Amino acid sequence: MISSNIRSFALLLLVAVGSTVYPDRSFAADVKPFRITMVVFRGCEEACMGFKSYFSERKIPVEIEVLDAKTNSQVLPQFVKQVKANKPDLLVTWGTTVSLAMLGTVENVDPAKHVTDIPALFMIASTPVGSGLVKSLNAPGRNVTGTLYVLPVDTQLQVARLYLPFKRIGYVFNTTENNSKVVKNELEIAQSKFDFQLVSVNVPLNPEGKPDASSLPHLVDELAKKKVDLIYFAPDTFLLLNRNVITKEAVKQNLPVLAVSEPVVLESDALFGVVNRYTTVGQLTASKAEMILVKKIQPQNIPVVAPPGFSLIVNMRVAKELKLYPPIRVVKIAETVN
Amino acid sequence: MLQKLKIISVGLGLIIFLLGMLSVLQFFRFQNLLFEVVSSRVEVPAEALKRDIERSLATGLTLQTNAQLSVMLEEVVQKNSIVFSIQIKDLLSNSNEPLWFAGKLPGPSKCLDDASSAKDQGAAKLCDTPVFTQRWPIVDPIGKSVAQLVFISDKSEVLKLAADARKELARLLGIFCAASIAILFPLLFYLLISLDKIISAARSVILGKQLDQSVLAHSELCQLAQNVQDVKKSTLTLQQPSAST
Amino acid sequence: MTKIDTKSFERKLARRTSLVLLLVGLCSSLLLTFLMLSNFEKILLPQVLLKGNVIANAVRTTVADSIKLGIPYDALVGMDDYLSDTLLDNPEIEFIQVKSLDGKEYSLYRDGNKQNRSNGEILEEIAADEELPGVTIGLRATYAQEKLQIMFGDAVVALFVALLFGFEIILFFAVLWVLRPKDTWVAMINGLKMGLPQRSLPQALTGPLSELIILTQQGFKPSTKSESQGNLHQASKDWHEPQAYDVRIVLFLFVLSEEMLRAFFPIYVQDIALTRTLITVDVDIALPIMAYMLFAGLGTLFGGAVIARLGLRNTFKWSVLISTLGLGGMAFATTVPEVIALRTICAIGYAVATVSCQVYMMQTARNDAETTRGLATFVAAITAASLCGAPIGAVVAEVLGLYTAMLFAAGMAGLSWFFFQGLKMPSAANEAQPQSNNTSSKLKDFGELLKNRQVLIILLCDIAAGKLMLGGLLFYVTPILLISFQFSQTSIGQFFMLYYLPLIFGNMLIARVNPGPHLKIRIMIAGALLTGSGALLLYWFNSAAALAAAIMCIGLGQSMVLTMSTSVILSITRAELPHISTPNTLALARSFERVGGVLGAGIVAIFSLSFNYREAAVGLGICVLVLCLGNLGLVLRSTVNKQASLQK
Repeated sequence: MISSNIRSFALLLLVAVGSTVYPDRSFAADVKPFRITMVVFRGCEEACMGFKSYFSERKIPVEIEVLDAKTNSQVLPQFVKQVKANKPDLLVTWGTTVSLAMLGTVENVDPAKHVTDIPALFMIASTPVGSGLVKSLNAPGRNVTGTLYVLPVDTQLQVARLYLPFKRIGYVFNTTENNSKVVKNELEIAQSKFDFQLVSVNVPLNPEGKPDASSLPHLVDELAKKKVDLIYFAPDTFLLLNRNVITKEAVKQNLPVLAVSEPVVLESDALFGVVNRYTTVGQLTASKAEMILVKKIQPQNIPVVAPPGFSLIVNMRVAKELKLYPPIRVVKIAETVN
Repeated sequence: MLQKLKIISVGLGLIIFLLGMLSVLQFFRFQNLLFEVVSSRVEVPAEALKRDIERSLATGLTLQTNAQLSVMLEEVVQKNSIVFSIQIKDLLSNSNEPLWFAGKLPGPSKCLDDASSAKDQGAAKLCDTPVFTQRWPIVDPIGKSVAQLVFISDKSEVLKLAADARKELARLLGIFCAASIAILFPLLFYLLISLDKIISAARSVILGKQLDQSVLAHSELCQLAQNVQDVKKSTLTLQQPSAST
Repeated sequence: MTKIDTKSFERKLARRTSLVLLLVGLCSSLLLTFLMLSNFEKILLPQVLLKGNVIANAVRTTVADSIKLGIPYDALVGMDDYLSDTLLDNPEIEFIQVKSLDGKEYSLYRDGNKQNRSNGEILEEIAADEELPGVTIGLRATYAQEKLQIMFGDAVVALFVALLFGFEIILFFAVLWVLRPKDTWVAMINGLKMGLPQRSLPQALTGPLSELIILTQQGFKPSTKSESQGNLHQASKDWHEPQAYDVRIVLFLFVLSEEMLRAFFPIYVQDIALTRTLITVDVDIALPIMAYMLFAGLGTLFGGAVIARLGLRNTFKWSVLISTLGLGGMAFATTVPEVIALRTICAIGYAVATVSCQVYMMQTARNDAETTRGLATFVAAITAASLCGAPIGAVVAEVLGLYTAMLFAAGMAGLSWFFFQGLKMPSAANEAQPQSNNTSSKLKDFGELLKNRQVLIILLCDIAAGKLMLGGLLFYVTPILLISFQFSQTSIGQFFMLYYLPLIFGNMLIARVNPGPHLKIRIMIAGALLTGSGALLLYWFNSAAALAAAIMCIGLGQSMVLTMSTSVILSITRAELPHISTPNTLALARSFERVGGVLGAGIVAIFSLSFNYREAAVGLGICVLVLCLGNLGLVLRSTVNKQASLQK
């Protein structure tokens, strides 16, 4: 009897010691990881990587499922059904196209077609208010919030003015993308304020109703013939995918390109732009996710903000090619690359 | 003699005090001016930086979101060896932490906190370095101060200059004090001999001795002494008739 | 008293001794100043010119950065804008030139045109090399001169402060060793002549004359025991009759302790306010100053009542005590409310102490001439302390630190008590001093004074009017105008000297003359007119010279007004309102001074809403002149009285 008591006691002691020696395992075993579904448009790029790294650096247990549309918006309704079935703790959408397809707009949301009952975050959406994703930046108005990654058009134009004078701004308009429409509207409004004329050329559609990428060089030529001083490169997914074509042609035509997103300046031949690093955007979005998942703050109570880290970037290689060097005043406040 | 020495020492002390006070006042005013002139050198990069920051602000890039600011601050610190650190402090927030910072150490206010835990002895040593702290407002396009640009720069060079000036001043002061004593002592001594003579003359009058009328006419003290003598005489005269009766 | 013989041996000796001390002091001071300045110039000038080098390096580095980025030197964009920015940021440079070895040049001159260089610039050059261009900066020659001028100006201020302080010390010893013993001796002789019984000698009797006084005392020792017993009850009284000059050093030290704070008080409050802000930092700095002014005014008003209740000695003792506590307490203050409370205490102490000193001086005066001299002494002591206070306070704060400087000031205030406590109080029996020591009778006294038309005219049109100019033009507008004239902060202190200098010298002259009652009124009115009219110069001349002239007019005018106005008010009160005490009269006069000072700033602030500051100053001058018109009533009355007295 004594020996059995001793055995029980020893077992208990072992369990107790074991539980203190291996705290992580027992903690990890107790805490369920948060389930996040991220829907991206063109693979897990820098923003997506930044998002993931935020959680791993802070050792926050998450399971992130990435659904990649591979630039095909036709698959997005399928992703809606998948998300509704899986019921993750949080839905993250990449880009305006994906966000609108998955979440609808404030005015026009259909629980049958959109995800409405899961808290959602968007990132790399150019104009969340303009596109209807949120009511306002300070008060999203529903259980959707997100992060900004571009600055307002006015700011972009102010910066452009610092660099070079312009009277005519060229704009390649993709009629199929909402971002393009919103930015075009904003540019049209800014014409009187900044005393310039917007010269817009529409991207023709192919028989499938999609924008025709082969027409892009010709469109740039057209803008050059119309004697624009500068091309404004909209935060448009189609244009982003074809950024090399557009910017190379622009350089050929001796036209500077003002970009609003990082890859166009850093990887292509845009002359300059005020951009933010996508990684930073991803990390800011992840911090919002932490607020929702860990701190249990409702998305409608989280304002849409821009990450710190905008830089005026000047591509010096392009500047040399165009012989459009930045003024000294700009050199002093800009980051130069290449 | 004691009186003479007392008066002379007060006179000399007064001159030394005067020269000393003059030196101290002059030195501190000069030192302030020197600090002002030297610290105005920091204004060169500071005003340029302030202008650049305000220009960025005018384009719509807020201080909080402009990542280039960190680089700009770092460049200024690198190019100006006299500058230890630069910070941009947000005036609109309650936090004491700077928005952006560049430089060798956080600034004098944090020196005490960091010095005790600093592993790098260089950082702790730098905390003891005397510094200039200068501030400029960062003003937004509508004229409102939104931040403060704070420069911490090296003061040790100018303190050395001031110390040299102080040494030279002390030397001059010593020379002048010695010279004043050398000139004043005999002069005062000679003058006070006359005072001695007047006092002795007045004393002798009080004690009943007769004095030359010309001396009496030209000496207030002797006249007063004579008055004393007169009052004494009249008092005695009054007392004598009453004594006789 | 004996007839004063200006050619007496003593006078000659005093003159020679003063001359020797003055010459040696002045010459050594001037020579020392000159040598110091030469030395300072050698150190300062290279530092001043170094700025050109810093600017040149900054420009070159910016150009180098652009070239490193791949921008060809010939293709630099926006150089004009950049050079324009640099000129704007650095007002001391006249031109910038950037030139490469092959001659390509970017340059900009301050007036915007590319002109030939004039000879008025100091050049700072960095030579070009194969990689980088050369930079030439033209520093304005007057830039260095301006710094040197500031240095010289500072030297003049320091010299003047040192001489003034030394003068006060000389006066103290002159009083201690010469004036007091001599007057004691004269009082003794006169007393003995009149058959007054023996009195003791004052405790603080020192100096070369003490031996003669003791001899005199011994010569009149009572011959019988009964005489000596009979004189016992008189032994506590001494021969020395209090004079106005007795309290000069006390007043000087006390006011100095308060004036020292002017140099560093705003910084001290700012430090506390930044750590624990009450409202906003700017408001927190203003609050203690406002509290001080308010309670100083109230303390002045009720100072007379306190004196009547406690007596002069106790009043001064308590006021020094609370001032010392207030000043010392500020060394330990950590919050703004604490500072406000302590400044309130200081204000009350300061107000009551200065009223006590003024009452002391007035009560020692036996005739009109002594009243005038006493008032002049009062003004002189306060002015000297005001002038010396800020420069000395700045140095003390720099050497000892802000908080220890507060303790130093407290010690200074306490030191004034040390000099006061040995003084004999003037006998109240010299004039019938009514003991109006309750608030209602005090207010009744004020009411009666204000109902007297002559008194009211003097209070409003002379005393308050003068202080309007002081508070409005000197303390408010002058710093603003000087900054607009491109003067530095240091120059403001130097400009204030232009007020104090004429005030001191004018006051000295006033002390020496003894005008009759009618002439006093005329001098007072002339002073008031001069005070106001100086500001009119700013209407025609928008320059620092006109401002300087206006300030000097205020100084000179006030030297004529301050002493004369109080003297005239006291004469009127004694003649027409004998039941009103001197303390109450003085308290009311000083209250009007304070009100005038505050209103002056307020009037300028109101004018500045519609006009610029220069015009506001002119407007203030016009207001003062209009107020001075009220003196017509006084002049007429005075003329009628004069004619009446002539007819008699």
